[in-house]
Amino acid sequence: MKDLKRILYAEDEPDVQTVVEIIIQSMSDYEIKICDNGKLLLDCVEDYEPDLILLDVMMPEMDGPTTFKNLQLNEKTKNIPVIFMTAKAQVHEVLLFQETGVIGVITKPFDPIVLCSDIQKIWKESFKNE
Amino acid sequence: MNNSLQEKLLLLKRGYIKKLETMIPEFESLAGKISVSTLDEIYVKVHTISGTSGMYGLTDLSDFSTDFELYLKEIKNDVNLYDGDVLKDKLLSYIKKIEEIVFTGDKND
Repeated sequence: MKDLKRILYAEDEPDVQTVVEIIIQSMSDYEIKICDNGKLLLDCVEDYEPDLILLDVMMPEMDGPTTFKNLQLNEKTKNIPVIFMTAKAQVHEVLLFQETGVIGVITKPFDPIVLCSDIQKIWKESFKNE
Repeated sequence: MNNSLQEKLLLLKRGYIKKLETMIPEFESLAGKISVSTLDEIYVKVHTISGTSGMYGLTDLSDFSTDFELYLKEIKNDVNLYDGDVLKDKLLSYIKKIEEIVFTGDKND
């Protein structure tokens, strides 16, 4: 199983950005970079070379599903595992993407205290059949 | 979770409750001009509050927001279900819910 070291996250809500950053830095050894929307994430994904991408679903400029489709179209990014972070009200829509390569979905609101363990669990699970 | 992290999260939560207070006049303004064209604006605000308030443990407000969000989504998908009076009533109840948190604090705090 590959080590998870570097996470790239697209999220437009400043409070969620701050809490996720604090939690990741305090409760794990992961390095995290946060972008305000999917378009900005696509601009830096090749340079940052993340092991994992977290995508909010509803964002201005470019939403999560569109960002995911763009990642899939790029040879350099199509194999980077993606987790969607989505509101309860959108879960059934996002579940459709699991069939096309998303390794998991974290439902919002999430409990910050278990966020790192949830990410780790999905990460491990994604290597289960390898 | 260590005390320093707990303290940081508590400070952020208090800051967020202050932020909610500034949203009350925004929602009141929207309640005064309800129409199909304001649906998207209300939806985005409610969606954001649903996720963020829940992350801070403001469960009542988050659950109320999720229900409201589902209702808004339904009428966004089928405009025939739109009823301005019903939406206004729901929006006013929502403002009251936010005021409860802002002015009486979070009971889980």
